Amino acid sequence: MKKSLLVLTVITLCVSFFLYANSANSHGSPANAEEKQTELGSSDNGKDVHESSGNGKERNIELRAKRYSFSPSVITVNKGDRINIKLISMDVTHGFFLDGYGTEVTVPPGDWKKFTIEADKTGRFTFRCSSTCGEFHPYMVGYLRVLPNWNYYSGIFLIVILGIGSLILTLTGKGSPRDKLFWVIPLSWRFELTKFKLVRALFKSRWFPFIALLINIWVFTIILLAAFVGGFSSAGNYNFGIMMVWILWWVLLMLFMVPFIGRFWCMVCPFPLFGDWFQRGKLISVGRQKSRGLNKRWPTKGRNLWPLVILFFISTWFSGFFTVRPFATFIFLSIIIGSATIIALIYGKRTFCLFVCPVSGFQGLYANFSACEIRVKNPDICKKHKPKTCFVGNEKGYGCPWMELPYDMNSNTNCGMCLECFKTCPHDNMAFNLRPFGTDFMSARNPADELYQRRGTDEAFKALTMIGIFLVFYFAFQGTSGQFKDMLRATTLGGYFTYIAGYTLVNFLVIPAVFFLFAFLSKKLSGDNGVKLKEVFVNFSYCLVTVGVAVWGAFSIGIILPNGSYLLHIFSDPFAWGWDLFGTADFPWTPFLTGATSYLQIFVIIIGLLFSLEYGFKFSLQTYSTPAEAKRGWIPMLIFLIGIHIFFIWLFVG
Amino acid sequence: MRKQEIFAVLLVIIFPIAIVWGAFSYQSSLKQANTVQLIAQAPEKGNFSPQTIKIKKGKEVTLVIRNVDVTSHGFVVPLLGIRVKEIKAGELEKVTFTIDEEGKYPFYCSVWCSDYHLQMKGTLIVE
Repeated sequence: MKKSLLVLTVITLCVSFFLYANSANSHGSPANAEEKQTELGSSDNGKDVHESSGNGKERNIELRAKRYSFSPSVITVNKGDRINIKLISMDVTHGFFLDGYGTEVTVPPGDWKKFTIEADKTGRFTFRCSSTCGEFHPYMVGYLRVLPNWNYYSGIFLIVILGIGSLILTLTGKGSPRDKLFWVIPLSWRFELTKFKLVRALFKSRWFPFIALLINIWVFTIILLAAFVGGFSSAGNYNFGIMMVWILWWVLLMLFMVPFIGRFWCMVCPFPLFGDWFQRGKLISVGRQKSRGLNKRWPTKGRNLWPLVILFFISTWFSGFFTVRPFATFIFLSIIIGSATIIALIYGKRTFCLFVCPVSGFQGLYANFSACEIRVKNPDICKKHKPKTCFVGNEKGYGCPWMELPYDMNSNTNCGMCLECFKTCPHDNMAFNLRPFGTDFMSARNPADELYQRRGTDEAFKALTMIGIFLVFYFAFQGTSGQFKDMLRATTLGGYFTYIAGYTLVNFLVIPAVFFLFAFLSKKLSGDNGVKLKEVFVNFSYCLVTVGVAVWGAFSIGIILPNGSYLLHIFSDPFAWGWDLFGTADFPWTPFLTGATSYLQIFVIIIGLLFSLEYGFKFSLQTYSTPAEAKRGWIPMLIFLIGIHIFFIWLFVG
Repeated sequence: MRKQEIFAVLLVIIFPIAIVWGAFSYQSSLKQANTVQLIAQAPEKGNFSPQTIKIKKGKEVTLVIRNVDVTSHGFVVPLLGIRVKEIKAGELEKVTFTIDEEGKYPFYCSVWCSDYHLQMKGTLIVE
């Protein structure tokens, strides 16, 4: 208990520093200690009129807006400054909305507007175009940095303190024990949801999750129709297809489904339905167990994550088109549905989901982190039970469509949560559990374990490329560079190919090389000569899963808060035909909670850091043969993790 | 189970068809109710479309003006005193009116929208 007290103290200290820093930020800079005293009483209303007019400098800024960037794209001022902005439109109608401050101005083409901002809040605030100016309009942003940037400093301070604290605890042997998460939560803790009769009855019904598929078919019919009739409209931000898929679905997936319920999307995904129907001959009742069609076996060499790593990577080459153009979204979804069906004709069962679907790979890998799992309740029952109906199927349901062995499953990677094993098990021995985050990382406890053997560079590269893809998405959709956006959306072919070449190089060479260097240092420093370098590289790459979940979460917050209000519009007018089904078609674009964005993002990244530090040392213990070697080998990895987290904090709020 | 299977198949087939059919029939029912769609774009990108709107005299008409452009547009019919507020890019504006006199009434864009702004106009014909 002493250790947990120590950790608690460290965390409390960090949080109080954070809170102090931010209260300092709302009351005034430390230079005005006297004023701060008098202001304290009225601080609740959050305004600081005296100071901004009293001490600040006048700053004149000529801000040029041109599709799809501002120039200058980053404005840095000090707290209390008066910023006189002359906003000039260089082409079409543009706008200016400042997160956190709420200032909004629009300027017609070839015209200018002058306005003043009192820089009374510190931090980094994004200003965005507020008048639909073309396809990349929602991503036309710039940053206003009001110094001192306390959010940023306290974020870095927290990371460094947590890093050093964790290092000291680890080296002195007071780290979290191997079988506990953060000292207190046993990794073996489970809460079985299916112990409730209603839940089990639901899971055993053949109508579930079919009913969810039906709803999704309904939604995706509207999405496809809207994306089709929306055609090449330059106002993708008012298209139902674009908004539902790239704002709502993607954010739900990255912020909620993947971190908490793992492959939940695979449970309700409507795309493989037609393939299933063909293979089984029945839609909902139990038909053929052996897939109709050619029923081939996917080649052994490709029975890993590599096809998914490559296919997802290639599909992100086109992110500059299908996230903004309705028709590109239509084509993308059609390809997914078409290939899901065609592959079901050639290969058996859910080959498409396992080895082809672009979004399956990261869901599978990140599902290892999620707080849900489907597992066997009592392995002894399974040992005696023959034949294994969960694998071969029976009259109640199909043998595992994902070709897993449900009776012997210890990782979420390839479990699509289709719930067939609940239906086929005559002993009701399957369970849907809540569990501590990330326990799958530890399920391979010794190198003799089959799962441990299965770990290869494919999963490592999935984790690494997800970080690289995140970086490019960040620069494309929340970054300030108009030049980069032009490359991404292929205004010139040369620029587009340069982008693809650079992007590929960064993802498959630069980032893996940096990580490899730290893995190499880790092995050297540990002094363990028995371990293979590849094993070090692969084992530690699972740290990047928690990092990835966190940065994609932070990215999603930056997408949904400013752009979520478009959803109200598209629900009322899904095909842009001038409908007003629910009376919300005229609801204006309203960024939501933009003052809180940076706090939420820092919070998510810090949580990610805590998990990567927590699990990272456990991986080190798994990798190296003695605890002393593990401690030494952990140091370079810890430095790497601290480094990239400081980088991410800089990216989001610095 | 057999009945359930048929029911499920029907649901899977009927849902998408019903949605597509529903969408198009709702759209055409709006058109019958004397709604006229007008798309607004700068002249070099397509101008007002259609540029000639025909309506019946003495009948109430709702004009839905949709700005699919990337600058603001406006809509005025000076001879009839009809004016809508600035329509921002991507948004739409509705205006309902009844005209009792036959004639041709020119309409214009009221927001300076491009180099060819002055050419952004059309004719409202009341028969």
